Parts: sequence; structure tokens; C-alpha cells
Amino acid sequence: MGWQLIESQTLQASAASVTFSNIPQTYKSLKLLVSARSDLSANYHNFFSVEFNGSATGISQRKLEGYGGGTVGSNSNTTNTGTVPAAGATTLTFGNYEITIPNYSSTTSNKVTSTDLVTENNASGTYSADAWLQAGLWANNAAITSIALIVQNSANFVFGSTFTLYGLA
Amino acid sequence: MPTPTYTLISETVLGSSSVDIVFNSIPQTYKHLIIESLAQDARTGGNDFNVQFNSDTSSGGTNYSITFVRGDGSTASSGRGVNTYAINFGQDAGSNQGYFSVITGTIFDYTNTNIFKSTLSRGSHPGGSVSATVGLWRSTAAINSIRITGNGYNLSAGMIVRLWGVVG
Repeated sequence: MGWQLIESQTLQASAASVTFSNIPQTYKSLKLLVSARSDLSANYHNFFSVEFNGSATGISQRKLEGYGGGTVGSNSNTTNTGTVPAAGATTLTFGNYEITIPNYSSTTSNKVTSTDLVTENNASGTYSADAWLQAGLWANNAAITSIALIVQNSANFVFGSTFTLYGLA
Repeated sequence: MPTPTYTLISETVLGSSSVDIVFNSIPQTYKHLIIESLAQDARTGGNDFNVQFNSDTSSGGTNYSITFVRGDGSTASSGRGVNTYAINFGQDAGSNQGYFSVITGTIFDYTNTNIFKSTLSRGSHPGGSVSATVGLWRSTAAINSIRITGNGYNLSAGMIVRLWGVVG
């Protein structure tokens, strides 16, 4: 059948987090598409964390990142994050984040994710924009029934940010 | 009923380790093909998720090439492989690691007999490398079979490969 819409959320006011709950267990894979911006003042970008089933443990990720101007790198850490433009970035500009979760309903395997992320900003400073390829691991056999995106640094996603969850049947 | 966009052509879940996974007799009725896999092989840390087409499956073949960008958690790199015997879609996880890596790839216009065949793939191995790769198979033949191997290492029990047809 292809990608089927499970749920879409568009913020009518700023929000510190967005959650998809009671995710149907009937698909083969999930894909979450995000178009968002943060209100963190004076920064080009701000981070958000991604949690499954309310858990912030057992998480790791590996990333290939580019920031323009020849700056490129790769790193690993124990959080599952994305980033979006913040208040210091070009106005009216939202970043895009796409995470794919195959076999999310399995109860016999850890969950591995694949993420592509971009932000753009009409500026030339280092770290003024981002392009990431990322692999994530949630070392947990539980089926994923909820996904939460939580803005860091005590900031919010802004009005108009959209979050759309699809299932692949 | 909504119009399908992707159709699952075939799914393989390995019940035991295997030297390869093969999809034969691929219908010629779609626009593109997509491979989606949770991949693992017997090599410590994982080896290459290699893709070959039709009868061009010799380990001595030279009809494939790739260009990639890759990050291994500390170093970003880019490279090329020319006159290769397969297209490396990304890195499998290893059977020692307790998880499977995510490999996805699109094979564009696979029935077109006027062009060489191009692929675009993403590899996501949280303990190995993250990559994006373009591949080329220098053949105008329509693709009717796909062979997946671990570049000399057996594919692990539990490995999943799904072949999707994209309606166009």
C-alpha cells in the first residue's frame, strides 16, 4: 500500500514537546517527518531529544554532519537528538527532520533508526546550518508505542511546526 | 480505497544464516524498486551489504561503481569504488553486536533498457558507519533479479530484506 498517514500535529502555539501515543502496531515500519523551528533566543539552532515509550535510556547514535564552508565531521554520543533552526536563524525558516524506524513493533530485537536532517540559514558562520545523516540505537526489545520529541535548553517548538507520522504497510 | 504507492513484492526473513538473499522473477510493472533491510552478517562489527543484479554476480565482475560519503563516529570521509563486482549499499551490523543496521536503497527505472541502472542508498549502523551512496550498474538490461550478500560473510539469521515496487 505504501506510506499511510497515522497522525499529524501542527502546533497552534509554542510547545516544549510533541508526543505521538498509542501508535498502531500494524505496520512494517514508521516514518516521522518534522518541519520545525525553536524559539531559543540568539542561537542559530537548538536541539531536541527523541524518546521512545518515554525512555531516555539505552540510546546511542552515530552521525555524519556537515555545517557548510568545508566543516564536516562524524561523532557518536548517547543521546538521540535532532536540531532545528532557532530564533537567531533566518526568519520564517524551518528545518526538516526525517526518521525511519523499521520493525518498530518487534518485541525480539533492539530498535535501530535512520535519520536525515537539514537546517538552512542564510548566513556563513560555522554551525549556522546543519546537514546530518544519523544512525540511532535504542537498546530495548519493547515495541514502540509512543514517540516524543522534547526541545532542549528550556525552549519550545514554535507555532506552525508540523510533525507527521506515517506507517508503511 | 487509496491508490497504492508502494507495493511489497517480497519479504525474506532468514531462519538461519545464509550466504545470500536473492529475489528472482521481479515483476516488470513498477517504476522503481526499493530495498529495505535490517541487516547483519557474521563479521565482527559487520561487513558490506552488497547488491548485484541479474546474472552479474561473479566476485570477479567489474560492471559496478560507487561514490559515497561516510561517517564512522570520529571521521568523515568520502570515496569511490570503480570497476567493482557489486554495489555496497551500506554496512551491516555484526552478529556480535545484538542489533541489525538499517539499509535502504532505491533502484531507479529498473526496467528501462536504454540506460545504465543507478541506485541511491543509505546505511545506518549505530556502532559502525553512517553513509549515503550512489551506485551504478553499467548494463542496459532490465533488472529481473537482485542478489544480496555480506561480501564473503554469511548473512545472519533474523536478517530481514523487503523488496518494494514503487508505482509510477
